[in-house]
This record gives sequence, C-alpha cells and structure tokens, in this order.
Amino acid sequence: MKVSLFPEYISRWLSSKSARGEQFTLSQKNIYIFPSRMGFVFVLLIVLLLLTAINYQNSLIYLFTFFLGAVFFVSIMLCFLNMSGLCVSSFQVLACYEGELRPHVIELLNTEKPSMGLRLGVDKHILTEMSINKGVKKLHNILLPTDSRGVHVLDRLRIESTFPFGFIIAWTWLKLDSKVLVFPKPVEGVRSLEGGVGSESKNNSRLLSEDLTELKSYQHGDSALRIVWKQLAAKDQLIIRSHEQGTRDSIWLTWRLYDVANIEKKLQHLCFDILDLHRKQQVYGLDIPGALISPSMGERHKHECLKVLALFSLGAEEGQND
Amino acid sequence: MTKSDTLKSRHSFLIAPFNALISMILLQLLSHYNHLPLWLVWFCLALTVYGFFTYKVVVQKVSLMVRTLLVVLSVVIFFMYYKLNLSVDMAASFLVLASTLKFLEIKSKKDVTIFVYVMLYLSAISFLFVQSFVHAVLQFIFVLVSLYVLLCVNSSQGLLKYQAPLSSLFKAALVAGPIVLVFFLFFPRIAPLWSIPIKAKNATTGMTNFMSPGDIAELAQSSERAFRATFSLKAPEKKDLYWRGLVLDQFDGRAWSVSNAHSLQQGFNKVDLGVLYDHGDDYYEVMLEPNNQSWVYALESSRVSSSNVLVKEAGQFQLKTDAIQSTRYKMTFKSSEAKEELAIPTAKILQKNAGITEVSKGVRSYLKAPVNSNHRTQQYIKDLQVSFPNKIDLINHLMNKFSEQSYYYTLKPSVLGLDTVDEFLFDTKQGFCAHYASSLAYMLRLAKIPARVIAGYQGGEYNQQGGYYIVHQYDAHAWVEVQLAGIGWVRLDPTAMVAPERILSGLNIAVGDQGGFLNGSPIASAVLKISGLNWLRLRADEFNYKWQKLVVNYGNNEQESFVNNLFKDFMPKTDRLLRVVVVLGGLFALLISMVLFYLWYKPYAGRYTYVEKIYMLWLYVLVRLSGLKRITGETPNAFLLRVKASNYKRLAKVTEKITAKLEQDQYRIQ
Repeated sequence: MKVSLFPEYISRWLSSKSARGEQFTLSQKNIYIFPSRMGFVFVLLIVLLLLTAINYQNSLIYLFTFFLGAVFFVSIMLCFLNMSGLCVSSFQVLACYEGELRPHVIELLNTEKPSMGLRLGVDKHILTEMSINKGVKKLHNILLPTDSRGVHVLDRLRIESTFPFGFIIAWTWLKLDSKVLVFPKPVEGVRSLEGGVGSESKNNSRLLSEDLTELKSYQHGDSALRIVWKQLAAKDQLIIRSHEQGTRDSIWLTWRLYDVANIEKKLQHLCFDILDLHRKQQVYGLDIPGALISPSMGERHKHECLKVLALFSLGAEEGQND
Repeated sequence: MTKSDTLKSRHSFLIAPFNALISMILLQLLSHYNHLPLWLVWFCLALTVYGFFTYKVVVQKVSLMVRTLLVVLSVVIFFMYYKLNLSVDMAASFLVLASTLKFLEIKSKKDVTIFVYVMLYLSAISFLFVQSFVHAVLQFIFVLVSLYVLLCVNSSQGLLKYQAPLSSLFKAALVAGPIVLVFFLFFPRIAPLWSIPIKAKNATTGMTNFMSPGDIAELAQSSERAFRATFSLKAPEKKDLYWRGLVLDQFDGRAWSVSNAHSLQQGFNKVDLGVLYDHGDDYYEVMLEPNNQSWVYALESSRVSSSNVLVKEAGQFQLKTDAIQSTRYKMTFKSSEAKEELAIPTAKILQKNAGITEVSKGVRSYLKAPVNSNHRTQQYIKDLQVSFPNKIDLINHLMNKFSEQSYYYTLKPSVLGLDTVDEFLFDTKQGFCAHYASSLAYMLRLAKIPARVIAGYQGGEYNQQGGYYIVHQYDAHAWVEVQLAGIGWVRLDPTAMVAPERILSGLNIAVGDQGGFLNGSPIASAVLKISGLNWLRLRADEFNYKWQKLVVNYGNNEQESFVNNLFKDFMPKTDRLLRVVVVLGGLFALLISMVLFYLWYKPYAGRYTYVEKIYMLWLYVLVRLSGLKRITGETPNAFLLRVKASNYKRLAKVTEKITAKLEQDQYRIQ
C-alpha cells in the first residue's frame, strides 16, 4: 500500500474546488511538483556522498556530489517543463450501454515540445503510460465500468510524470468535462398483447421488404440509409425507398407495452426493442411519460430514442416535452 | 503471442537500457580493478555474461533458486576473503558484488533505480583510490550513462527513439555545469567527522623504513612518480636536490633501519586545518603522490609552512595522515641570516638541518656500530685511525677511496653474504647507492664519527614548460650525514664520488648501457628514449599536475585564497563564511529569478517575430530622438510618409529600411 505524500492531499483538495472545463492547458497553475519516493532516496544518496567527500577531504567526490545535486535541481525544471504546455481536452461525447465499459476519450496535444513518460488515469494506482510527440494529437481512451444509465462524467483525471530522471514527480488533477451517455442495458421483455397505442399496425413485427416499398427518386435531405444501391448500380440514379409517412406501418413503443412494474426494467425492454426494430429497419416511435418521438427510422432516430431512455427520470416528466 | 514475446513485454523497460546496464557494470569493474581481488572481478564478469545470456539470448528470467544459490555463494566467499576488516576497500568490493547480483534480479523500474543509485555511489568512491584526469572523465561518462538509464526508465518508449530524452540529458548536464562550478569553488570545506581506513591492507609504494643493500636498486625499476615540486623562486640545480625522507640511524651489520626514537611525536591534534603559512618568499610546494605512507620529503634547511606536516626529530617531517590521496605541502627555505644565527652553539648544531631544537639525546646513538660481524672492516678502520688522527682527513680519505679505487656503480650488484660491508668493500666492489651509503656510515661510526644514513630522493626531472621538478621512484637515493664539531651535520654522498654523473644527470645516464634501469617497465623506458613521445609525456604530466593542483587538491586553503582574491575589492573585511553565504545565496537567487522570469516571459514568447521586435525598438528610439510617435492604428507605411515629411532625413532613411523589412516579413515580398 502506497502512502500518499502530504502535497498529494493538498492537490486533491485544491482540484476538488476547481471548476470543470472542456479543455485544460497545463501550466504552473495546475501542475503540482514534489520529489518522488525515489527522489528522496536520491537526496539520501547525495547526503551520503557529501559525508564521504567531507570525511576523506576528496575534491573529486565533492565535484561528483555537486553534479548529482545540480542534476536533481535541474530535473525539477525539466519535469515541470515536460508537462507544461500539454493541452488536455475531452473528445466528443460517446455512448455505451449499461454494464459495458464506458469510453472517455481524451485528446492530448502539445504544440511546443514532446511530453515524455506521461501516466494517465482516474485512479492513482492504475495509470496508462504514454508519450506525446510534439504537435501530434493523441487520443487516449479511458474505460470505466458503469452500473447505471444516464450521463456519466469523468470524476477527476490524473496525469503524472517522473520524467526525466525519476527524482521529481509532477502531477495534475483535472476536472475534465468528459461525458459518456450510458443507455439502458438491452434486455428482451415480454410485450403485453394490447401494446401499441396508435395501433394502426396490425401486426407488430411486420417486416419491410423491398417489394412492399414504393420507390421514388432521391431528394436532398433523404436518409442515405434508404438508398437502393442496386438501382444506383443499374440505372446510375439515386433511388430511395419511401414510406408513405407510414403511420400505417409504424410501431409505437409505449410505457404500457410491458408487463413489469419496475421502471428500469421497462427502459431496458424498450431499449431492446428499439435496437431490434432498428436492426429490422422498421419504423417506430417512442411514447413514454415526458417524451414523445414520432415514428421514424435510422441511426439518428435510434440515438434520439435511446438518449431519451438514458436520461429518463420520473421527476423530469413534465420538463422534457421536446 | 509466444513465450518470449510475453517476457519481452513484461521486461519492456529493460530493452532500451539493458546494454547500458551491462556497460555500467563493466565500467565500474574497470574503475575499481586495481584494488578488487582478482576472483571478484572474474566472478562479476561471469555473472554479467550469465545475465546477458539469460535475458538477451534465452530471454528468460534467472530463476529464484539460481539467484539464492549465487547470493549465498558470494556472501560466503566474500566474508571468507575479507573477514570483517572494515575498510572502504572492502565496502567497494561488496558494492560491486551486490550490484552485479542485483542486476540478475531486476524486475521493475524500482530495481533499475536502486541498481543505478548503488552504482553511482560506487563510482564516487572510486575517487578515493584514483584521482587522475582520465579516471575523472571515465566517471563522468559513467554518470551520463546512469542518467541515461534513469531517463529510459522514466520516459515511456517506442515513440521517439530516444531523441528527445537524450537532448534533455545533455540539457540537464549543461545547465548543471555552472551550478557545479560555483558550488565547487564556494562550498565550505569542513573538517572530517570520522574516518574509516581506505584499504584493509595498505600496499605502500616507494621507500621502506629499513634499507638493506640492494633495496633502493629495486625502486630503479619503477618510472612511477614519487612527487612533484614547484619552487617559488629559481629552482635549485639538480645536483643540489637532496630530498631528505627518512633518517636511518640503526645498523645491525646488514640493514639500516629507523630507531624508535624517531617515531611520531605524540599529543598532536591530528585534524588538519588545511592552512598554508607565509614564511617568506623562498618556498617550494610538493605534491606527493598517494603512497599510503606519512613521510615528507624535504630539502635541507627547510621550514614547515603547511598545517598538514609535523616536525620530527633529526630534521625529519611527517604528514598528519598517511598519504592515501595526493597530498600537497609547502616548505619554506630558511633565510641565510637565520641559518647563521642557529649554527653557532655546537650542542644545538642539529638545528641547522632539523628546524627545531633537538633535545640532545647525545650523539651516542649515532655511534652505535655492531662489532660481531664485518671484522675486516673493523680492522681496516683501526688501521686508518692510526694513519689519520684527524677526523676530517679520515673522512676525506674514505670518500676518495671510492673514487680512486676500482669501485663500480651498478644496478645489478653481486649478491652479498653475511658480512655485507666486508664483502662489498674488499671483494665485489660493485654496488648501488645503498651499498656505498651503508658501508660509509658504518665505517664512520667505527671511527667514532657520528653518522647516519638518509633515505630519500636525489635530483628529479625538470619539466621546462611547466617549470617544476618531477621526482620519480627511480630517483630514490641514499646518502650519509656526519656530525662535525663546530659545523654540525654535513652531507656526504659517496655515490657522487663513484659515479658523479648520477648526481649531475640522473640514474639513466649513470647506469648507461649496462642495463638494469627500468627493466620492469619496458614501455616507460622506450618512451624515455623517443624524444617525441617523451615531449608528449612531459606535456601530459604538466596537464595532470595542473589538474591535481587546481581540482584534486582544491581544499580549504585554496578556497580561502581564491575567495580572498575575489572579494578583496568590494568586501575586503568580511568573514569567509558570510562570503560563502553571499555567493551561494546569490546563485540561488539567480536561479530562482531565472525560473520566475521564464514563467513570466513564456506567454509572450513567440508573439512577435524578430523583425517586429526590431521595428518596435526603432519606434521607441524614434520617439526619443525626434518625438515622432506612431499613432495607434496608423500603418507602418503611413507612419513612414509622416517621418519622411518631417525634418529628420537621416532617421527617415533608417525608418524606410526597417519598414521595408517589416513589409517583407509580414507579406513575404521578395
């Protein structure tokens, strides 16, 4: 078990008071610096050398000692400079499902100089080592376990380095605004029979096949997913499948569809069905307390629906109308 | 992934500094080679090779069993060899062994770091044994390799191929340079706190405290330096350089030795303050090579002028501590008036040479001569005493005997039996300085003339460019001193009678082609013969002497005179400690302010180009010179027109040029 040094506590306390941000540039304002454990051992070595020099009145050992001492001193500066100027920012918001490891992608860039021997992580004891080349962007993915849906923010990012010689450790705690959207875990549920509020549709799991689809020419704004690629190859013309504002064919996923009382369970089933319908390329809409998404299809639509599920909370029913 | 791949990835940090680690071990084995026992060197080499093969060729770890076995084995052998005789020598051997064993079980970055730290300490204590410039350079390289290893361990790899890390290594070394220099010059030198002997078995070099015939001839084989000497005024001639070392006053019929009466005077405080005294202008400084002995070599009628030297009886001197490192001391010649003053009373006549009042133990001890051997010599002296009742005549006769009769000066004399003096004087008649000095002193004692043998060095090699004498081991010499009523102790050198060229030009010439000179070191004797190489040797020696004087022997006293010189103009009467505080504090303040300046300046760095800076500077100058000021928002060209319209034609020309440059810089117009 490692024992934290006193400045470590100070840095934690100070960083807990600081504001969140999407981007941080490391400078003397947020870099903490202190001799490392091995640095203290090195200081001990220097003291021992000095005693030897004094005892044997040996000029060359004096010289040797002063050189090591000076290198120790210079390494304070080098250690700080190695980290300063490093720009840390949160990459785009990614999403994952509950129970998976959530990816926080962090972008590292130093335009002034390379940053060597960086160790990154949220926990002080599990850190990933890397070096950043000058002017080369580097993305680092921090995977963290998730146990609930919703928006998860990175607690505190730690970056440390003992470059150049390991005598000095420079570290920083950043409250980086790196968010990950966690969707409910997709679990297949049993749908009750009267499910489907606007049940224009007669059968819930009707497949969309090509011959049932009207074809029309592509217009700007149409989803690329609907392009019939075969036609493109044959006629050199963009043709899309069209659903005649297919309320007739659309499925409404509603709150009452499932026979479970637990809201989380309901959300998990909804999630499963959304993914299922999406895979089957069906048109579906979502109608749950506080949110109504008209039937549609496609990647964006799926994301919208899943987002609603992820952010769903009973208290927010009234607030989330759009 | 194969097995070796997993191992490689587990030891990924090892791949880069691995060769460096091996070179560190080899460098330290080389640095400590002279005092390490041979078995230890071979053992460590074997361990290193073994480690190399397991890590690099087989790509495996050394198993725990093998490691335990090796540790137990080496600990047992080590303590059987050293038997707990605590010394630096032993500690160095132990560290070499321990760090080589540690090399076999390096598992983590921490292990590497600990290994490097131990090695660094080992490197530092190698200076206790060797202090030459070449050795210092070797250790500097070693430190750089060590730092490189630490650098590899602390910068994650694979990306940059070590270009950036190496540059930061040199950056660190470069910035460290001036700090080291200031600290070295000003850091107060403190007296030793305690002491541990450097070597368990002191292998002394040079003279011994007894002399049997043929002893000094052995030293003639060695071209090693005994000491160097610099004279403040004109250096004496070679033939006058009799460096007195030991007074041998006891004769057992075969060998001369130092009697107990001359043992070290007790009751002295052995802590050396490192002070040189000013006793006049005519002085000389000796830089003694480390020989693990405490004898001081000094010319006749010298006075001690440094605090590390004690005065002994019979005009001898002694170092406070054995010369385990090169040791410097200063001696001042007594002025001629002082000599006369002291030379008057017969009873205290010894002072002429001794420098202190010698308590007259009687000259009796200088008359003791064993009579149970060398009967022929005893008879010979009895006969001579009859024919030469005057002692001076007797001495002259004996001295002339060596030059007139067929005595032969040689480095390879015949082996003598029990009655050494008899056999030498009447049978073999060939010998080295020890034979002549020994037999002459014996004969004088038989003739009731107080006599003693002096062992030391005679002459030296004058380094013309450097302006100093180099005294080698082959300059070792023995001669005789007799006490004459009314005059005191007088030097008699029988060798000068047999082979005057020995005194005038040195042993090399005196022995000539008959051989025996530097037989043990063919390279050294070859160098002496080739003039180009010899010139080079003298230049190298001069450099080494400077290195020793300026760096190796920079101690309390040197620091004092340096600091005094530096501060004599603006802080003439301040305490030394205060000055040191001022300098070191100043350095610290300078470094801190540099850091602060950097932090303040950094945001502005790169905001303006070089040309823009010059333009702005010119604008400032222009305001001062003419009062013309650029209005905010005014373009450089518009401002130029305004300047041109003014009366300052010359300034306008310069402004035109700078503005053109600025335009070029901004818009890249060719």
